[in-house]
Amino acid sequence: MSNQDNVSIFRPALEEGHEDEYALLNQIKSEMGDIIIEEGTYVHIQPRRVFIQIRPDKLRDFVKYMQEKHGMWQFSTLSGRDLGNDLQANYHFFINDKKIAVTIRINVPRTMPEYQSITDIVPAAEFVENELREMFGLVPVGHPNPRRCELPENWPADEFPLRKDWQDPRGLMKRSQTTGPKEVK
Amino acid sequence: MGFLQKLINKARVKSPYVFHFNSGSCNGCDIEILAALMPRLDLERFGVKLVGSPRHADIMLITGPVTEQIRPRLQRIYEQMAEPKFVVAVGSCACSGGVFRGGYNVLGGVDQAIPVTAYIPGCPPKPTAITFGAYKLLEVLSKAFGVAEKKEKEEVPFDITAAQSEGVAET
Amino acid sequence: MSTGNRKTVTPPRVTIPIGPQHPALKEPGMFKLTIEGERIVDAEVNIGYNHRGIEKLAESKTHLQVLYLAERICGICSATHNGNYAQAVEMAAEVEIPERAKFIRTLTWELERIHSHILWLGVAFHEVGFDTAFMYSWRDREIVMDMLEDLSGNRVNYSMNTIGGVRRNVSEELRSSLLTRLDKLEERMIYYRDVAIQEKTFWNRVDGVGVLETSVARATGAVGPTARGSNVPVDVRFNDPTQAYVHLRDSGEFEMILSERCDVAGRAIVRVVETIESIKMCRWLLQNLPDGPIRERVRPRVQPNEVLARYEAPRGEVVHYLVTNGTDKPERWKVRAPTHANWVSMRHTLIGNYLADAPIILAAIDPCFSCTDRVTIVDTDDNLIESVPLDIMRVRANKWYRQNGGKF
Ligand code: SF4
Repeated sequence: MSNQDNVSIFRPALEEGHEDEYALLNQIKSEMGDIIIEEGTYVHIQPRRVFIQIRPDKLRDFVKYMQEKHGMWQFSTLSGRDLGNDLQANYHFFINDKKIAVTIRINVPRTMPEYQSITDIVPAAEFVENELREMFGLVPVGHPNPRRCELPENWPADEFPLRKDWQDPRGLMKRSQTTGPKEVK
Repeated sequence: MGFLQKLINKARVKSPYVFHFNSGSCNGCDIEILAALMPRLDLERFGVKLVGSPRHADIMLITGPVTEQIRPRLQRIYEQMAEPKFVVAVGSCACSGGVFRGGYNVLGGVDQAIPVTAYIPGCPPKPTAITFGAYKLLEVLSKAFGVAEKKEKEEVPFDITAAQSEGVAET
Repeated sequence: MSTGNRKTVTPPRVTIPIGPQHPALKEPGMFKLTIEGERIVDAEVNIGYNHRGIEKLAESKTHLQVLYLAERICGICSATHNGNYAQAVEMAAEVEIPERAKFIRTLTWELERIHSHILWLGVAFHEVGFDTAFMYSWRDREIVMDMLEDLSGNRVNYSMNTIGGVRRNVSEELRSSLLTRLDKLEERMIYYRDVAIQEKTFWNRVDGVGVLETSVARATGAVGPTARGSNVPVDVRFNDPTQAYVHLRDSGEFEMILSERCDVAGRAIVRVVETIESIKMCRWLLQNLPDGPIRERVRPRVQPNEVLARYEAPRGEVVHYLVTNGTDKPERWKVRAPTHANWVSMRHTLIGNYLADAPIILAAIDPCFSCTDRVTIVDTDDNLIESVPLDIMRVRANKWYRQNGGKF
């Protein structure tokens, strides 16, 4: 999958009907414009959704800025994506006063999948950052409590099941498609 | 079979203790098991009692497709149960994996990990189905133990059309 | 006897793992409680025993198949995930579903909230040893289960939603029969509200227990009744409404239920009052049900898009992040179930409380109804290991309260 395909998933909305969202995005752009990457930054066609892509090394600064300036304290979740050459982390926040959901995302190269953890400034991110590391191999550096949370203990450390190129090397997905009882010793 | 053994077997069929184990289910089956024990259907009238420890239990009700993390614990708990022990797989997941067939972390059915005595399919089975399954199991057990009550008359299969024409059953 | 040679003895620190076998949602947990004497001084949550790999499995299924897989993430909030996924695909395909379908979808959601909250109430009564009310509330829960069965055809896992609308219509007879049963349910719920507040057996066990400060609840990202019981105004139904919640909000008759108590009692009150509010919402939806079709056709191939769909489940905010890629299968689908968000705040609610209160505090975030959980007590000093099932622990807890509580 090339980056070309990803561009087409962004469907920016028209200005009218989304005035609040555009006002927020324009204010952020004017204040933090230098760390924002245009490519994945837009107002979604759904009401109350803003997506912002930023430089991965500036994630902490940006979250702090949003918390101080825009009262963004409600953290929803973190979802990963596999874009081929890059891995993407999407932090979903909700600004309760303005009633706008803000998604902050960073692209991290697959060869060097590391970025700074935000668990110390957003305590709610503790579990999801661990989950992201397990499922995608995206490492939040500086996480206060790194441990395995979802996968079994005997899962190999270098296999990440939600990456697109995980090909099920041990036949796990076929295993459960059995019929009839197995010989149990 | 000695007299005492016969008495024990009879008591066993009259009051089975069940233990409920969740091996990665979605909770749907669990609330239906609980609903079967609650006032409306009241499985306790067959002497069934839900206990909290596998060591007290005769029957283990298992829900869910058995995830990889649960498997060793399930096997250990099965070993902890005292003989004779019976396992009932409740729900499509526990029977065959259900919708989770093909997932990388599920085994697909309780019988892939431990031997199973009875299966109650459905997603989730209704409390009535669970009651029916439990009742059937008790019937089979009492036959196997040789303590089945003698039937006084031949059982007549329920004829739905006749019942409808008499207005007994709803259409 | 002189007091001079008296020593202060610090009780040894003991770690108690609870679980991991925990009949739970997507995320069953193992709790490691560290106690000093009777007080909990630290708590840790381990999750992942119920990990079934649903997100990976979904990438090999079509949108219509994922709808039924999503429903089976959790049996108690099945309409939640089912409806929220349907809504996400509709948003990605940019179709607007008929008004009647929106109302019926919201009606299923609200009925599910009623059933889930009554279930929780019963479990809470059970955890504090008030089994009479437990049986009563589960008996009355059957009313709403019957309503759901009449509406959708199944008691759990309703499969009510499909992409582009709902599967079954509400006939005129069903509408009037649902309305009568709602009246009965409301009468019973008002009774339970009074029982919960006035009955000392219940109230003394939850009053001031498991405190979660407003600021901590905000920082740890608590959701649902856990947050609203701590006076944090998070409720997607009012903050970010979709479907018929837009109409409900605009009608101005309903409001977000908040409590300033911050303890287990606050969470209980929020749930009970919310149930009564939900019954009113159901009545409003049934009375204002618009006419029209219930389904819009949606092409199976969904254009490339990304969607963040949110909905307020009985336990809190559910987030589905869906990326579509022009085929009939999802490219990436991320689910955040509400209990996942509450694990972090769980630690703060446990610390400083008595061990005897742990069952009710664990139950207060409604992680699931844990009926057969096992507890292992490990004494770090003597390496004494004792296996205790949760119901024995509950009996011990109730006994401890009889001896030491003194409040009754
Ligand atoms: S059979 Fe159905 S209801 Fe039961 S655990 Fe499986 S998915 Fe859930």
